[in-house]
Amino acid sequence: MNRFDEHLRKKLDAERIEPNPVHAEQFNKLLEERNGKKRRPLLWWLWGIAIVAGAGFLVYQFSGSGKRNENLSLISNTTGTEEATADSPEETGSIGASNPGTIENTGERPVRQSLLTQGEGKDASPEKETHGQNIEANPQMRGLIEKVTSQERFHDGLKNPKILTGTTETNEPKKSGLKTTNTEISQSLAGKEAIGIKDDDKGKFPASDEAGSLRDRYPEVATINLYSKVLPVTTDDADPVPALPFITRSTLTSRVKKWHIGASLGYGLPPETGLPKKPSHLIHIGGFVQRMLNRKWSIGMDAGFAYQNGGIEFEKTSALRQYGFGLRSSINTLNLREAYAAYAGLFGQYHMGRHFVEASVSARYLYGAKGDISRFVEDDILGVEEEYLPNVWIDTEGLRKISLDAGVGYGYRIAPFMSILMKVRIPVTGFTYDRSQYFLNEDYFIDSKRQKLIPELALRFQLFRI
Amino acid sequence: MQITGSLLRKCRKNQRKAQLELYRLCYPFLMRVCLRYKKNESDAAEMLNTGMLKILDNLHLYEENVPFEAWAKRIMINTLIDDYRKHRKRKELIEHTEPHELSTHEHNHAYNESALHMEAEEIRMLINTLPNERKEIFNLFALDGYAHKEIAEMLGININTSRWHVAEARKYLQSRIMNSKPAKSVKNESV
Repeated sequence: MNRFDEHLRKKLDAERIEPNPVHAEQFNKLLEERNGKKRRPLLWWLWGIAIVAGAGFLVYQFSGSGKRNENLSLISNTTGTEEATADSPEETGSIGASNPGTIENTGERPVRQSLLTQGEGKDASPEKETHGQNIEANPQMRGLIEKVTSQERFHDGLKNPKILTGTTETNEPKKSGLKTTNTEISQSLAGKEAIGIKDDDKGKFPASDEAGSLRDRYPEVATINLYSKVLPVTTDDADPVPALPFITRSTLTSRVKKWHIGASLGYGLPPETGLPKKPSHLIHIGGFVQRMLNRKWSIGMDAGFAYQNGGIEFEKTSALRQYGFGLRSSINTLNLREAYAAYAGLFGQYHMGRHFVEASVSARYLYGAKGDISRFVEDDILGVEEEYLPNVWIDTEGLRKISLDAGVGYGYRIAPFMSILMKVRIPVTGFTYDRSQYFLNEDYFIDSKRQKLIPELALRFQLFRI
Repeated sequence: MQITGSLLRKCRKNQRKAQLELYRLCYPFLMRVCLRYKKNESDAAEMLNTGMLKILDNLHLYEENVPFEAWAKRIMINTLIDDYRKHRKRKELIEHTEPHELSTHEHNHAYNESALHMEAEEIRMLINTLPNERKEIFNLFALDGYAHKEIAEMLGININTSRWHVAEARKYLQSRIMNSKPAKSVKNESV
């Protein structure tokens, strides 16, 4: 080291500086602000959860399921044993050869046929009417059919509807007939053959195919006690009130659709950068295709356009000195402000009723960027020249074109066609190099250049089902 | 009190009292660095506070086999460089100094002796009269021990530009120190 430099350094290092209480107080305030900012993402999440919970509650309230105090009605069938009581009205039906058309190995038809047979089947007993009402003509019964079918479809994730699962929506499913039914079936089958009857709320009854085989082997296997809520219908022609307002007749009668196509809109908050810190935004709009693998799992891909304003800390400075007729020096500084990108990604979802969790990976391709360019040229002959170009399209050379990120999130299906998703995007690589080679060599990263977690709120609209 | 491992652990746990204590202990040597890079005390204090926040944020990355002072100083310098890049004043980027023929060994010796008699504050004030970029480069190279290559990467400049700035800064400082010698003597006498 140069001796002159060494002397200077020694002198400066020997200087004694005492802590300044004013500066310490300022630092204390900074600490408080920082801790406040650290809490902010948590507040965002809490707000998000509160909004989703509120939306869910509203949907629940206005979906018809709030009418929980309606009377249950008793429906009796041709062969069943009348077990209704005054406080627990129920329907009894049979699975067996005596009513061969009752249960078939098809999607939603068994329930419908089972109930219709009670009123119009040729083998039906003279008791075609329930409490003096023909089932077909009875709007309440029709309501029941729709209700049961819709519930069934809803609960089963639009695939493999199980017989009578709709009864789980009755007032007190565990206390009333549903539990009883399960017991009866289990008892009837005890010691004969295991048929996979489950003991939980959603799997009490054998699936249709299983029921078919049952019918062949055990003509009178069991009696089903069906508790069901009959929804109010004012006129014969009126549609029954569906279980959820968005389930329509066409939805109920269509076949199971595994492919979902839709649009998505998201808003994220990249970390603020710069001094003073500026708010940053990440907006993306696009489409998605989703494939339901089964009632729990689905995978999909999405693609679209992403716009990021701020949150990208990138500044490039270049200095150029030219010798010719005198010295010409120029300094160019580039600050990146906005990034325009196309994105594509894959996601997988695990559904728990209306709730789902999602994991995703995506890539963004930077096709354009805007920033501020400043040039300062000093020429011995021509003099000084300054140029400042704010927010202009810039050459993306030197930036990383593709950035990768992963994400995890929680979503809630507000309606069949709309989901809300709270997600955390974890940038794996950014558009800018977050570590210079120097810092990398020194095993030290400069925090301001590192993109951190990006909280994001997204809405997904299901437009088509195939 | 020394900067101990337990103090750092408390800081990592976000204990405010420990963080303020760490600030107090780091203040002398970090402020010294900041004062070299900044023209006035309030700017230096602002940078010190920003740097200290970074130090606290990155404390989990600190490995105890490295001297804490050196590690903290490094973060502080990087914070200062970051700030410099953000607030670079275009007009201050280039300043031409007339070349001096002062680089002989004898001359150097004379300046060294002069420098030894100067107070730290005076030296700092002299350094602060350098154009911003030159000051940054001189500080980094001569006083903080960075190599020209590192400086070039940090500031986005050519290595030769860095060398040139250091050489020019030295010449300038040496000439100013020489000129300030009589003034200093007068000052001392008057006191």
